[in-house]
Amino acid sequence: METGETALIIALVLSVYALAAHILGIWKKKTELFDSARIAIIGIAVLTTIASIWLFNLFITRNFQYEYVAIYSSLDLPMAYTISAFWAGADGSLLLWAWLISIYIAVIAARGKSYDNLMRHAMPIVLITLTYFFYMLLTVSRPFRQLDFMPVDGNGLNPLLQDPGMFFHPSTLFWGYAGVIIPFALMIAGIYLSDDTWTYRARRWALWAWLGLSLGNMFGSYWAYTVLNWGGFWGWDPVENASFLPWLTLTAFYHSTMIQERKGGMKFWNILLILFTWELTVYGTLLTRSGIIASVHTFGQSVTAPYYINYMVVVLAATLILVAWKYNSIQSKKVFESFVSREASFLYNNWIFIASTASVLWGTTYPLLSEAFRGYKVMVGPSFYNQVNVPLGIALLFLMGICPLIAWRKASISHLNRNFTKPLAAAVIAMVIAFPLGIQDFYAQVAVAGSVLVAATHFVDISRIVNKQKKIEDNGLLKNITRAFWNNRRTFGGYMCHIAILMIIVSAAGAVVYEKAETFNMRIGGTYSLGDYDFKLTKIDQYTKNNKDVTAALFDVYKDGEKVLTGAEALMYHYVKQESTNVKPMAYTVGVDDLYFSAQAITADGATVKLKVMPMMFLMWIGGFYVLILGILICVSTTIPIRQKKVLGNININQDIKKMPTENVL
Amino acid sequence: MRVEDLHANERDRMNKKQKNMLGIGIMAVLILYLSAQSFSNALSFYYEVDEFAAKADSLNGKIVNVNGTIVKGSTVWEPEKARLTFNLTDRNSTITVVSNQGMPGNYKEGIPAVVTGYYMNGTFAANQVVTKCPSKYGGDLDHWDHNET
Repeated sequence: METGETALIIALVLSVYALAAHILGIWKKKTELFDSARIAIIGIAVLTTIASIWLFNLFITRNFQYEYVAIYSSLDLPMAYTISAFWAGADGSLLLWAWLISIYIAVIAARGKSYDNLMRHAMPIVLITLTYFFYMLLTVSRPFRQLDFMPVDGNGLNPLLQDPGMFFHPSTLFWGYAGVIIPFALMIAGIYLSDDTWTYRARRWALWAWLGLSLGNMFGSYWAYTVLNWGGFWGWDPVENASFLPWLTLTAFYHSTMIQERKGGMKFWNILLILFTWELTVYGTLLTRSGIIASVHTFGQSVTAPYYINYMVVVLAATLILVAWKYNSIQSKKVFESFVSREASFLYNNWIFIASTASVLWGTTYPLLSEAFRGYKVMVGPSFYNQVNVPLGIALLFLMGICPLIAWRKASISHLNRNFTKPLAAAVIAMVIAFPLGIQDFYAQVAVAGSVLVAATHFVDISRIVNKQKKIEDNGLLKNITRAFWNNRRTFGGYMCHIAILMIIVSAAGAVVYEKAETFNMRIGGTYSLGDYDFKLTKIDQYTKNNKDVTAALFDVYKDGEKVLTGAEALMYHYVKQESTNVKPMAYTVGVDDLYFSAQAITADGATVKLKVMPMMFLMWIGGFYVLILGILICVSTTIPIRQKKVLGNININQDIKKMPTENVL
Repeated sequence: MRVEDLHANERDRMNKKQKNMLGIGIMAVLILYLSAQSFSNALSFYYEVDEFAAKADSLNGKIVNVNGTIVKGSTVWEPEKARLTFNLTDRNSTITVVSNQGMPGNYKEGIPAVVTGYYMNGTFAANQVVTKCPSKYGGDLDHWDHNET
């Protein structure tokens, strides 16, 4: 018996059992069934772990009898990439997704105390999905399919995937994708039970998923930057868009649930946003893994597309029917008293994210629709996405600048005066100072004004929080700050995320507006100038590394006569097995600039190299990887008091709120 | 205050809200219109080689995408100029493609590729060449016993 498929079959059976146990337990009100279901769920996690370890093992032992191993690895593939080939293809990716989901629900199942009525109703949704995935893994998307012969060698991994990004991008992205199903399931349960506290329960899982999605998108961007030779961090490629879409709606969701928490409003928004997030997650997988779109990620013809599409249709229909059925118990409180208020700013936040999602979704899907219904194919160029999303990004930037200080309910003119005069003045002064310093481009000036506004308002609000702490108990500035931080982690964490986004926006503005690029035909010993830098081609080198032949053009870089960089490389890789040649660009950070080298051709005595100087590029990675992650982790560490108990008083709650360890009850 | 005045005040307040909604509505329509314009400007058509060959002269230098397979033995690589020349075919027609952008990623003869650019003087000047990953069964898995079919 085949180990992997056996494990998956048993997991499928357990999954069906757990699903039946939940439904029966709810229907017949037998709590023992939930206990056995929870054990089954933990069993599922064990089995998917076994199946996954087995797949890793097949790759490590280079067992080419297995079709998946043969297609995505080869004898000459370095071991590290052989291991990561697990998720090189559609089948392994689906297994990874199922594995992560099963681990997440096992964590929930193991925490007996919080397995309340809401969770008992949410889990069947996850189990139905997991059962469906197991079914796919055993029929149309089989990672453990064996060939009836033993190939001498495998095909090898796509050279573009033989990069460190291969370890981080798919794994973090699926970490996020798997995490999205939990808030989604809680939403369904919440509607069914007319229990609005689903947003509280969903919050941490949404944050966890958001962490994965953010990291996944950042790694994808960094990977594109360091592997694809056009020297950019975002190309609006359909596959990039696929992972960006759920991130957009999830970001909107996380903000919008705060209004439901505090004021009982925006309930339909939250329902729709998390529905879209899960649908877009599946859609993203459909786009990248079923071969529908020709891109770096395609894997040839696949039969799985109808399975994903059918799933999306059923989920959409079922959710909308459920919402219609329970419509009367979802009534939101009316929270919008003024167009100038913090509540309104959350609404604008949602509008901006939805507009961005709509434009990216349209641009990504239109070619598919065109091909399917009109018979001809088109490509949507980056200009469309940029023209729509750059203004949206600017609007978002200024919204970020306004939100920390704007009043709830209705901001009066005097309030606006009191709070915003100084930050706005700071922004204007920054613009004025920046102008003679060379920042004269419109978008750069806007970025400067927006960033200073954001920094100023956030600083003001943080100072207020610290001052409040000081009034409670003054223990000196440092202790006040740490106390204030500890008691307001959610705010501080959130603001940190804002600053991270700010860094990304500033970086993008600097790199794009002030980028200098030129392609040079160089001779060894020659020096070529771009921006403030002089690039000298010092030598051409050739060596073999693992499974590739490397040709390198080496550079020394000077600025104002001083050597600032030595041994910078522009590389070309020739993969012996695949008989293909790839450019490997390299980026080096010197001061605030990134110096980017992309070899187009290398001969014995010279090279044609595209050079780029991109200011502020480094800020994107610091912001997106370190600051953002830290902010999210700080937010995850918090607990939120349930303020909506009064609102829920006239709604039927079938849960024991006191049993929830993750949130405190007021 | 008289009842009529109260009603009048209420009507004025409603009008303010209606005005705001109207303003937002107008902005939304404007944004949609601009987006639609931007969208149609960003579209570029996608042809197979034979469709393109038939239309090539009438395109007047418009940027298009052409999908075909790189012909084996047709590659001319001039590293000093970073110039790549090859033929693209779909078994019905063949065109010659020239790219000055250096070696595209995963370049290999015999695999599908999409070239983006325009037609000029009998050749296709590509500013982008994207090779498609070989299909699932494209690279034949090496059987141990070579007598197998």
